[in-house]
Amino acid sequence: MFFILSLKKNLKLTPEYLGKRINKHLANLLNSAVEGSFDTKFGYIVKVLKHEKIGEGKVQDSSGDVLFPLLYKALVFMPYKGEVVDAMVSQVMEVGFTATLGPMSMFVAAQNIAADYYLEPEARPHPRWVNKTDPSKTIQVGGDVRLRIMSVRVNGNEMMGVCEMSEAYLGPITV
Amino acid sequence: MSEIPIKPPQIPNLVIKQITWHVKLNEFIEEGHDLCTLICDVPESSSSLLSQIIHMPVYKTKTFKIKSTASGSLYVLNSAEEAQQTSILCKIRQKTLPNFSIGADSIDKCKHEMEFGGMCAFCGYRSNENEQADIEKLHCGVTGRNLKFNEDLAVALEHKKKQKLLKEKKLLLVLDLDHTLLHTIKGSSAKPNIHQINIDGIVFSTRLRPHLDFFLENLKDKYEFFVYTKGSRKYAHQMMKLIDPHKEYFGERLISQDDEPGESGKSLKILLPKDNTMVLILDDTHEVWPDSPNLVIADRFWYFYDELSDIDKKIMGENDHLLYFMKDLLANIHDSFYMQETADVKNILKQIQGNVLLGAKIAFSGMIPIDIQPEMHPLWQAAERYGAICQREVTEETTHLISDGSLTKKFKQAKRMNIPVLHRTWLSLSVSYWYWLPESQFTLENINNLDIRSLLPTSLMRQLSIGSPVPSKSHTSGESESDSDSDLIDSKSDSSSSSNKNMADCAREVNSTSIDSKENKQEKGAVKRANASQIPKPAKKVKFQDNSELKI
Repeated sequence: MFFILSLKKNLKLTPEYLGKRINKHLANLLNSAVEGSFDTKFGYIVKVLKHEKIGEGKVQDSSGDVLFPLLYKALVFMPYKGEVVDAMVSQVMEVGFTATLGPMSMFVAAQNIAADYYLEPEARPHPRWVNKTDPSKTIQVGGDVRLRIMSVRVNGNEMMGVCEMSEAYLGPITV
Repeated sequence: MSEIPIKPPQIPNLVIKQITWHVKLNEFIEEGHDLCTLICDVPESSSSLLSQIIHMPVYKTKTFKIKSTASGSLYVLNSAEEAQQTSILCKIRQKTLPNFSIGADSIDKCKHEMEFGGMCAFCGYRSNENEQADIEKLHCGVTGRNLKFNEDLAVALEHKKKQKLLKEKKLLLVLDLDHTLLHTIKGSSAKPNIHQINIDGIVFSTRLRPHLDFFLENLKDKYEFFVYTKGSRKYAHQMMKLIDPHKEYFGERLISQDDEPGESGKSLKILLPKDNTMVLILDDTHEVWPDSPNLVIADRFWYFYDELSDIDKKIMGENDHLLYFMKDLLANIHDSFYMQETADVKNILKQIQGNVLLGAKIAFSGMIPIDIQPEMHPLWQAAERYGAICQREVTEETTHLISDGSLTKKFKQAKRMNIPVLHRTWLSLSVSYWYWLPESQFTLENINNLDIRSLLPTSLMRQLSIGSPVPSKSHTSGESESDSDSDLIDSKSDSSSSSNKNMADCAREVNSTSIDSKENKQEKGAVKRANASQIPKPAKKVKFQDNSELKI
C-alpha cells in the first residue's frame, strides 16, 4: 500500500554550497538521497512530495560541513501482511515461482499455489504452472498474478516478500 | 485437512499389552511405513477344547506389526492403556496444503524448510538473525538467489534431480561465459563477426567462440547446460540472448554474480549441495573453483587482442577450435558414465586425462631454464598429468623432442635418431584439446604453415569459412577452398538442422574409447608411438572414423 508520510532526514552539506542557492542544493541532495531508497520501518520511498522544513544547521567541528535536519513529505510504498497485490511473474521453478512488484521481489512456494495448478517443467521458453480445469489460466514468466502477502522483509536495499496464491480470486489475471 | 485414526487389529476382546513405537510424534510418514509393534492377548476361538472345559476365554499372546494406511504427520501417539480405551493407536494428519492463515498457530507447526530472503517460504515466519545461524540452509538448483532449503529438502530435491537426469541419460555441464564461451570487451571494435550490445548505455563488443553452436547442438542430448558466471545478471542475460536466442539449450539455467553476492569463488554447492558425481565444469580459470575435481580447464579464448605472436595467431581467436575438441571429450565422458554401473565423472575424467598422451615419451630441449628443476616446469607437469612420460635426456625410447629450434646436443641427437622434433605448441595444444594431435604440422619446419582447421572434418571447415571469411593461405588444402564458394549457396538455402546433421556425421573419435583395459592402453600407446615415428607424414593420415568425407 502507498502512504504519504512526514519523514525526517539529516543531511550534511559541504561548505562550498553555503551560499544563496543553499535551499535548492539541499532539496536536490534530499531527493537524490532518499528517492528509491529503502527504510526498514517505512518501506520504499518512491518520491519526495514536499519539502516542509529545513531546520537549523549545525557546523561540524572537524570538517566544516553543516548538518541540516530536514522535514519532508514523501510517497512511500510499504506492502503489509495480508494485503492482496498484483505482481509480474519473473521466474518459474519446480519449488514455486517468483514475482516482482516494483522494488519488491516475492516468492510463492509450490505448496502455497492452489491445488488445481500443476507444473509444466518442459514448457518453452519457460516452465509454467497451468490450471487443471481452465488451461488458459497459466502462471508464466511475464504474466500477471494476484497474490496475498504473507510476510515482508526489508534487507539493506532490497525488499522481499513471501506470498500465497491458494485462495479464491487469487491467481493469474488478465489486465 | 483430515485426520486418519490408525486402529488396532479388529479382533473382539483384544487386550493390548504393550506398544513399541518405531516413529516419533510429529514425524512425517509415508503410506505403508512401519508404525509400531503390538503385543496383544488374543482370545482363542471359543470352540477350542480348553475353553470349553474351563468355561472361560483362553488368551494367547500375539505380536502384530502395524503399518500406516495414510501418509502425513503423526500427531497423537497413544500408550497401551489409552489405545485399549479408545481403540485408536495413533492419528495421522494427512498432508494436504498446509494451513496458511497468518497467525501464530500455523507458524508453530511449520518446520520452515524453505527460506526466502530470511522468511519461511511456507508460512512467512521471519526468523531473526540468531536463529538463522543455527541451521545452515543450502541452495539447490538455480532457484533464485534468496531461496534456501534445509538439508533434508535440499537433498530430496537433489535426489529428484539426479533421478531425472538418469532417466533422461544426461549429465550436468556448468559453463563459464567470459573467455570460455565468448570474449567481450568494453567499447566497439572493427573486427569481423562480432556482436555489439548496449548495456545501460555502455557499448560492449562480443565474439562467440568458434564452434559454439556445434558444441551445444551436439551435446544437448547428453548434457543439461548451466551458465555460471561472475558477471552481473544483466550482462549474462544479454550474452544468453546471443548464445541461445530460443532458449533451447539453457532455458533459465543461469547463475550470475547477483545470485551469490559477496562470494569470490564459484562453488558447485549452489547447484548440488552434496553430490558431484554427475556434473562437469568447463571454465578457463581454475582459481575460482578451489580443488574441484569436476573441472575441465578450457584455454582462454581471446579475440580482441592484437599483440599475438605468429604462432598464437594460428591457434587463437578466429582459429580457436577448443570447443570442437571439447565436444568429443564431453561426449566420451557421458558415454563412459552411462556404460558403468556406479560411475563417477571425477574418476572418468581422471582416467581419460591419463590416457591422452599415454605412450608418449617426451624430452625437452631449450624449453626449461637451467636453474629450475625440470620436474617443476608447467609443461613437464602438464605432460605427465596427461599420461606422457617426460625424460631428461634423449634415449632410444624417446618419441618426441619438444624444442625451441636451437642446436643443442639433444636436438642433434634427436635428428640423428630420427625422433620427431616438435614445437611446444604441439604439447600445449594436445593438452588443452585433450587430444593427441598429429605431429606432422607441428615439426619445426612446418610450424609456420600450421593450419589446425585441416584437422577438422571438411564440412565443419566449410561452415567455419562461411561464418568467417578465411584469409586465403597457400597451404590450405585446395579442395576445401575451392568448394567453399559453391557451398555458400547450398548451405544458405539449407536449414541449419541439415547442416548440423552433416556435422554430426563427421563425428570423429578422440581419445578413442576412454576406459580401456590396460592391455589396450599399452597397445594403443604402441600404435601411437609407431605413428609418431613415421614423421613427417601427410595430414590425411589423421585417424577419422568417417574416412569418406575426409580423405583430402
